[in-house]
Amino acid sequence: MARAPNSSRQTRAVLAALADGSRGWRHGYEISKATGLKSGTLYPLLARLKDQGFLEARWEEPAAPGRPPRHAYRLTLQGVALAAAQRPAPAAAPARAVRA
Amino acid sequence: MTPTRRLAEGLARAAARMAPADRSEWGTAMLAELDHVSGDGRALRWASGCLLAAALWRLDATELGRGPAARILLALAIGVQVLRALFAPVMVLSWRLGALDVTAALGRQTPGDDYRRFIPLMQAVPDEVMFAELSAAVLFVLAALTIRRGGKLALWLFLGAVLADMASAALGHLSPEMNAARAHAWTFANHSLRRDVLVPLAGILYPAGLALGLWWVSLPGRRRA
Repeated sequence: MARAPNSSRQTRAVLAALADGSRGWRHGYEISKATGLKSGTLYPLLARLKDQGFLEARWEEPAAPGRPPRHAYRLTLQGVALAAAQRPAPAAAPARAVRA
Repeated sequence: MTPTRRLAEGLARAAARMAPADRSEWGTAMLAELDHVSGDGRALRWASGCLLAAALWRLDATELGRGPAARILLALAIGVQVLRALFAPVMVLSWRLGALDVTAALGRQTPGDDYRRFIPLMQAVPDEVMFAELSAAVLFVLAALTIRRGGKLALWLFLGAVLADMASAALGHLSPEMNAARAHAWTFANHSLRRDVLVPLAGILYPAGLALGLWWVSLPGRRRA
């Protein structure tokens, strides 16, 4: 059976990291540290999420002179909904815990 | 800056350059992020990942046979590859099955003009070498057929065919009996300009000419929108 789109463990980890609304815009390396994903996995995933309209990106002015502008990301409303849908329902958690 | 850090920067810059046009922003983003990765080892791992991502994007953006001229060149190249991949297995199979007319006809196209000098080699060829070579031929044919549609499947089939071809060559070189028989079959008493100079030269120039042709027909000014 084909897997639902954007349901891989890596995608869910990225969505969960970005769904933490208290942090606002987040950077690639920060997301990599939060999810444990390497750049070779993370960036194709971010690019795909942006193509699908779940993510928006912007260039930020460098904090210090001589450093390059930095790319930052946050979920769109559609992305927030996807992240919420990917999050396991609280009622289902104990049953899964028992099976595990 | 340490040599490891310099290497990491070089790799990330190469990744940014390698990313196709529609992903160039991401290539630049990965490169800029390297500035914030602390530690040489982590920076090198980060940059290696960037290179992998860019290579996959580039591969994904590559379409074999974009434009009619490129398609003709590729079809020609694949046709040559199919003939090359089929020649030895068909000769060996025809000889093993007793179809000596076919073996003799193919033997006339070989150096020495006679299949009999290849009998020890045809006896020594392991089945897996034949299988890999026939698989390469089938994959080359499928790649040629799918190029007409202009999709990415052709690229994967072509890469599969090249890998099968390489596997066949590697397996052949791992067989001591085949190596000994090959050395015997390819030893000639007399010098021949065609066999010793022209044919090997064509073998070197053909892929170089093909690569040059493909590069030329894919130049932005020549490519159809």
